[in-house]
Amino acid sequence: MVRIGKPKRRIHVEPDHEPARRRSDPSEAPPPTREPKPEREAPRRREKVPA
Amino acid sequence: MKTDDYILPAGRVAGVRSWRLANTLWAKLGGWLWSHAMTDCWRKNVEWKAAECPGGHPIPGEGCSCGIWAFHNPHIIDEQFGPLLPPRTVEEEPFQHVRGVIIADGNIIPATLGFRAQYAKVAAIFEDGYDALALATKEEIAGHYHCDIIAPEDYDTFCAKHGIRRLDLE
Repeated sequence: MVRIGKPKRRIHVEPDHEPARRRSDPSEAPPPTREPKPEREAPRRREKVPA
Repeated sequence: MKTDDYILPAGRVAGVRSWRLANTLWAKLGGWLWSHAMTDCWRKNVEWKAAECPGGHPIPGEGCSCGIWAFHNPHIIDEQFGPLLPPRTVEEEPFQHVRGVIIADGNIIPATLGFRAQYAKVAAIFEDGYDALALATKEEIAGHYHCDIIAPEDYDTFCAKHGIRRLDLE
């Protein structure tokens, strides 16, 4: 891990670029990348085979 | 577009960091610049990189190591990592490291030697004289990130010329 010394008080520099705009506007949020899991198929009942 | 072509909004912060160069064709598709562990890519043609963290807190987090890190100037990175040394022979593995300048904004946690930031872009690549031994020339790297190539000694002048804030001088 990179050590950058003792931390000081946080500052904020107002960003005006695309990644910042996307992050602050929920309507422009990217769609979830993970697809929903398909529902599990119920196990098939084994047919009884006459002897 | 070079750094000369746009006016930087006042207040953005300059820092110096190092990267590992893409060492496979697949990695190169993302961009030349990667973190040292090769887990995080600085994508080519993507101007601003946004730091990510699975922690779900504002980035960079106070109790977390997330954020885009950088040192305040080339002297500090030399002190912390040692000077950039080339391979001893040409037969050794190609040189995989490069250093340069980033400009950061958003949330920033300053520290005594550097800072961690929410957003950053590559502003310049340092000339190191090792192009012949490296995986990529500085021109190739600068081409991916549309940035300048400067000597580490010109860092002060570069920041002053572009009006970029230096936290180590405040």
